[in-house]
Amino acid sequence: MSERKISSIQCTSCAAPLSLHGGGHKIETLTCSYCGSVLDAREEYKVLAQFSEQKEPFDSPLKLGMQGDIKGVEFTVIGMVEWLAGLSRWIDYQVFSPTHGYAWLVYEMGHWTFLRRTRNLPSKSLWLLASQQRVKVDDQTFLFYEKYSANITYVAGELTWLAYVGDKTSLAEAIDPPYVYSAERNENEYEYYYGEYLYADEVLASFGASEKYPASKMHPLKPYQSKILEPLSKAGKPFAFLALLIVFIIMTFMDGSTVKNGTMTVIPLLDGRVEVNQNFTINKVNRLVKLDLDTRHSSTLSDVNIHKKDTEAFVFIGSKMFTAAGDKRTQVKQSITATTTYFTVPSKGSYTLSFIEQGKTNAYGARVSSVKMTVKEGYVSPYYFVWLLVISGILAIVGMVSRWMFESARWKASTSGYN
Amino acid sequence: MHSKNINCPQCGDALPLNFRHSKLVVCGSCSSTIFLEDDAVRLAGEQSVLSEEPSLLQLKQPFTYKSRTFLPVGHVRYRYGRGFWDEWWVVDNGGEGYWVTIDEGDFAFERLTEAPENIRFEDLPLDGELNGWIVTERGQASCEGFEGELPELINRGDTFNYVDLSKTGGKLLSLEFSDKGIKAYQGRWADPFEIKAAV
Repeated sequence: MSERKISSIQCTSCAAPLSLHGGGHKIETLTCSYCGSVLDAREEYKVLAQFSEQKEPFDSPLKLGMQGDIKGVEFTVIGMVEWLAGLSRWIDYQVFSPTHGYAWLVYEMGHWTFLRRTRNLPSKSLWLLASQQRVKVDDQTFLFYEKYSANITYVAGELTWLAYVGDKTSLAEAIDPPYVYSAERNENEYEYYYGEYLYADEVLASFGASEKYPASKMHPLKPYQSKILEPLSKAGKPFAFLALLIVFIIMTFMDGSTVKNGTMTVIPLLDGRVEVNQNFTINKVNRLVKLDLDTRHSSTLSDVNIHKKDTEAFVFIGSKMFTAAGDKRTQVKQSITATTTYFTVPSKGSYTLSFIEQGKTNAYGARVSSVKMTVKEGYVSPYYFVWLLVISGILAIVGMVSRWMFESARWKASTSGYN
Repeated sequence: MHSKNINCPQCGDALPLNFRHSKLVVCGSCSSTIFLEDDAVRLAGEQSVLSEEPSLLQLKQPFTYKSRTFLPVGHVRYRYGRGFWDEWWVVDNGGEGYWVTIDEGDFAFERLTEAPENIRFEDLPLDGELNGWIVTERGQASCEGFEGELPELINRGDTFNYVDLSKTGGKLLSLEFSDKGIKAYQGRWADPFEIKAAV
């Protein structure tokens, strides 16, 4: 930590005591905060101009001489400049470190940015870019955000440049949150700055300062942060991917082997309906059997019974199923066009599926079933993984939507013209 | 890194050298300036003492920049205008030397390069151009003092005119005009926040 050098002089205009907070030999001016006189720091503090009407910013959290730690380096506030651009107003605090030199701490509506001059030039002129157009600086890509002109409304303390109230400058900014690259153009020169968004609570705590007003909700450099949605979204993404992969594998490779497929034979009944009896053989015990009944051409369907010889395996009516063995792993899905049933059987062998329906007459005048049956054994259900996919997918999407809304709000104020 | 041992002709203390091509070394014990001429040593007959100023770089304390480690072995201070800048002679692990110029947070790494021919200090006004380089600063400086070991013979009070020229990509060209001729150094600006003490 450097030794703090403080000396003081009397304002050569109003004789007020002015502290010099240790700014180095590049200091050009010292502006009296009492009478607004701009003093030439290189010429015996002679008065260069006076702006007695200037008013100190009402919401300035920092004062000249305050010291704080920025990115691990101790800086002292040696000067300040207030700017106005349209409805926007901000304060640039000139800060100095004997080891790291000069920098700016920018305060705007409760948000802080740490700016340093850079010699790295942009790949193209910022002044010619439209909103969100890319520009490269060294290895970093920025998106153009806005350009505007601003006027100085207040000056105090030591500065490395000559700043008068009323001076105008043009600025262009490109962002890669939380970083910013900005160009400043005045009458004689271009200067480029590289900056980084700082969290207000850290800056205020470091400088021992406090804020008088709550911060605005949005700032162009503010990083996206959501204490709940962001971690949930992050956690949801790998689960969604994993669940999708498992569902794909199950549906592609573990869909079971077909043991019966086609239209079933019938026994016509006296009342005009038909009785369906269809045999199928199951060899894989304790594995799920999948039964699909395509009922799209059938308006009525009685209880569906599956039995082995005289032993009833189970019966289901509509979406409810009753197993003789009390097996709870079975489930039924029924829609207008299809009924799908999953069940296990107690032993290998031939099973018979039977039910009564209205049937239909084929082109040869014979009565046939209007229901088509497919039976698969060794079926693996992706049921729980589908639910995992749905839940984790929702979490991932909600996080992405939240971020998209945040980014939309960030770019809402972006312009390619002067305000 | 090269190391050889000689003794101070003034006080007899050991003068461990870190750079193979050192031409000047300041005795850490008696602050005498010693010129190194081939294998001989010659007492320059003056003492060099630098006032302590806050600095990121410290003599014989290694630092890292962009994943490379450097050891500051020499230090020169030049006074100009109302202030001063420091130049540190640093050596990397391969024994290569660089000048690190520090002026209140403005850092640059430079190496000696071939000087442009037929150019005079007067021909390079501020904002003037030289082979695509733009003049960004010019002035006069004099050597205030030095410490450690250096690759050039420097005398306290040496005065020269200097011109700094810049180019895209953070490139820097420094020209020094003195009655001995022109010296040119080329390099890049560096971010002081990327300079860390080596662990």
